[in-house]
Amino acid sequence: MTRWVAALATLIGFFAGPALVAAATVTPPSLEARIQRIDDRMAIEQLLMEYGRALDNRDFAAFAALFTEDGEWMGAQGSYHGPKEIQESMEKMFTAAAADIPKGKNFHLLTNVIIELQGDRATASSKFIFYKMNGAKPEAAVAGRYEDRLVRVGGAWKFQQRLALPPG
Amino acid sequence: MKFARYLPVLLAFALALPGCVTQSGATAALEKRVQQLEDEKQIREVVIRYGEYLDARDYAGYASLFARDGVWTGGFGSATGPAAIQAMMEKNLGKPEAGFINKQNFHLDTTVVVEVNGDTATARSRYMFFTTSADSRPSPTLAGRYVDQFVRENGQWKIKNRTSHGVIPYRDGNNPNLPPPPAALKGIIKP
Repeated sequence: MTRWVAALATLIGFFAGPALVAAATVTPPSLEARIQRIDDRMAIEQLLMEYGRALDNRDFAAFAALFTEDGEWMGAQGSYHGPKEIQESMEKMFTAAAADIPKGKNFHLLTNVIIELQGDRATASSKFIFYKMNGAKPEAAVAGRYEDRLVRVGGAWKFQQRLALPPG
Repeated sequence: MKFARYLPVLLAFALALPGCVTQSGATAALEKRVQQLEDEKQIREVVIRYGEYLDARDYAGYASLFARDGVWTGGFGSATGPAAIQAMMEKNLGKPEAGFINKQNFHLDTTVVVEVNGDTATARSRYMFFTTSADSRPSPTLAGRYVDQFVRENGQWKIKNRTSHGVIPYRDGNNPNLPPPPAALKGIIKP
C-alpha cells in the first residue's frame, strides 16, 4: 500500500514537476504586481515634478529631501553629495543668480519622461527646459536632459543620482 | 448516511459559489482597467521614444517603433515595415558616429491623448522642435501635432501610421504635396 502511494507520488512528481516549473516561468504577473508598477511609475513621475517645483519655489530643504543620504547631483556647475551639500550648493547657486532669475520669475518645464523599473530600483530619463523672463516674455534659457538612478527608501522613491546633461 | 456526511461540505461549496462568481467578475473588471492603464503607458512611451530616437539619430531604434505593415510617408517617399524604414532613413540622413551626442536640437513631446480600442489605438500629441540659437539658447523652431494609428503586435504597441501636421509654420499633413520645411532645418528633421 505504502509502496503504491510512493510510486504514485513519484509518478505525479515526474509529470507535474516540469509542468510546475514551466508554469512558474511563464506565469503572468499578478494584478497586484501590475498595479504596484503603475503606482511606482506615478510616484517616480511625481518625484521628477517635485524637483522642479522645489527649485522654482526656492525651497532648498524640500529639494534636498528628494535625495538619498548618499545621493548625488551632477551638472555643469559641479557634483554634490548628500542632502546637506546638495541643499547648500543649490541655495548658493540660486542666490548668486538672484538678480538675473529672482524667485517667481522662472520655471522648469519637465517632459519626455521614460521610466524603467527594477523592483526597488529604477532609472529615468527626461527632458527639461528652464524658462526665465526676458522683459515681459518667458524665454527658454537652458534645455537638456536628466538621467536618474532612483531607489525606494522606506516606501518613498528618492534620487540616488541625478545627472543634468545637454540634450540628445 | 454517506450523503449526509458530505452535506456540510456541499452546502459550504454551494454558499461560496455566488461569492466566487462575483469575485471573479470584479477581478475581470479590475484586470481590464489595469490593462487599459498599461496600454496607455506603453503608447505614451512610443510617442516619446519616436522623438528621442530621432534626436539621437538612432534609426534602428526609430524603425523598431513601427508595425510590420507600418507605413512611413514623407519627403523621402514611402516605406513599409521597420527594415525598409531604417534603410530609407540611413540612406537619406546617414548613420551617426559612435558616441554621438546631439547638442543642436531636440523634440519636446507633450499633450498626449490616447484612445485605446482593443488591439488598435489612436494617439494625438503636440510637439515642439527646439534648435540652438546663435547665442546658444534653446529656440522653438517648429510647433505641430501628430495623429498616430497604433496596433498591438505580439503584445507590443506599434505605429501603423503617423501623420505630422505643422501648426507653426502651418503644414497640412494630409496634403500629398507638402510644402518643404524651412530651409534652415534641411537634413535635421523628418521632411
